[in-house]
Amino acid sequence: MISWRHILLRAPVNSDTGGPGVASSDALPRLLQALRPDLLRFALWLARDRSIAEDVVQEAMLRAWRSRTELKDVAAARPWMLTIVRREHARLYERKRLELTNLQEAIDREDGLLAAEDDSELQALRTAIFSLADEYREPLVLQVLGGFSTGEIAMQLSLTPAAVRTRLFRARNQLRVAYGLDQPAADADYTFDDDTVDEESA
Amino acid sequence: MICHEARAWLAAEPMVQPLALREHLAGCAACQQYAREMLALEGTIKRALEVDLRRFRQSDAALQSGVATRTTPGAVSRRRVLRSGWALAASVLLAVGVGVSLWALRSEPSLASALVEHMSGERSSWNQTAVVTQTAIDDVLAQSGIHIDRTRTPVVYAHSCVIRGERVPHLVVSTDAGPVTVLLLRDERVASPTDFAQGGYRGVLWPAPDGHGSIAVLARGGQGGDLRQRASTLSAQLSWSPPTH
Repeated sequence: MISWRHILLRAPVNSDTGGPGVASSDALPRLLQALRPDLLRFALWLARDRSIAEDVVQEAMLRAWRSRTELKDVAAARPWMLTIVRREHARLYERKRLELTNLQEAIDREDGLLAAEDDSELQALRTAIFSLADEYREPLVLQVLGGFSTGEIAMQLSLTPAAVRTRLFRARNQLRVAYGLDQPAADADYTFDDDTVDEESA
Repeated sequence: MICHEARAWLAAEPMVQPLALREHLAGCAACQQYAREMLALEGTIKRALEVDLRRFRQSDAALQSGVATRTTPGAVSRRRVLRSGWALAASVLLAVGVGVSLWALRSEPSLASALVEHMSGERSSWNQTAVVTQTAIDDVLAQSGIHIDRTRTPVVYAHSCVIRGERVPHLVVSTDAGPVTVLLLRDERVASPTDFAQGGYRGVLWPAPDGHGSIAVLARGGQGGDLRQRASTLSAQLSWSPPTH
């Protein structure tokens, strides 16, 4: 049986990219291993459960290894893997129909991770992000942690860019209040309009 | 662009400032202040998302020590209890108790934790009553290169799961003594049958023939009957071959 551990063990210790694309390279396992911390954080914020995050990343790495010929450019490895992790997370929920967990239980379960020594504001913000509804948390994590543009997030989530901006704005609106800034960023019901905003951003 | 549009944009994409926004900010001190606040908040959000993975590992280490387990309501309440001094003493006793009960697994303590943790995460599997078809069972087992002879014991849950990085067939069989979980661990080997008890569960790790791996049979508390007998019977019904991928 192929496992991520086995892939790592099989990779030669001294190898470089070895060809025009990552697919022909023995360096892919180490490249993915280097990305693993980012992937774990990303999966954790999506899943709000460290064990599920571990499983998702594990599955994503196996899937990436099997699809390695699709990766032509080392520079694209990070967004490629983050996309695989996001899809794997969604797939996990479709496949297993995981029970929705009580939010307070989830916060209690992961309180060690949410903790920020000597920084109660940071900890409060982590809890606030953790508490965001999926529809707000996911685009926020994709944007801030994943580094994806609004257009890329829109493609991943099958939304319009305006819909993504609306969710991002509402997410930060909630975080702004949770962080103790006295006023929300704008009218909470504000909705971005595709035409207007895209013209402005052009 | 007017103020509420500018602020909405600053909340949506604080790191991107299109021309219309820049023009508005140039003439609006209030929105400039908003922009500064949102940029500061953005830095904090980024820091907040970048959780310390050492804590991730520490949490795992705590899990593996048996002091705390995840997902079960009991686990949450246990963690709360740990915050009190009384509970600290209780946790020491608990840790000692768990340590004693895990004596047989001292060479591989994390495996029992991983199995119990996985079971806890799929508690709904015990509530299944519909018998899974033989075809569905075969499909799950085939992913790990395992075949099972037809058995009279009804299988009510069959999934291919990931445990410690390996694909593991996860079955639940319905018995007179309650549901019994079976995990077929192709990449985990034990030299001899090994009992364990943890987090309200008890189980046995049974070596598969010819060093193919091991079979974990677990049940809650006093349920499940003679788990060693079940593992032995099951082992004789299984054949292990190379996996399909």
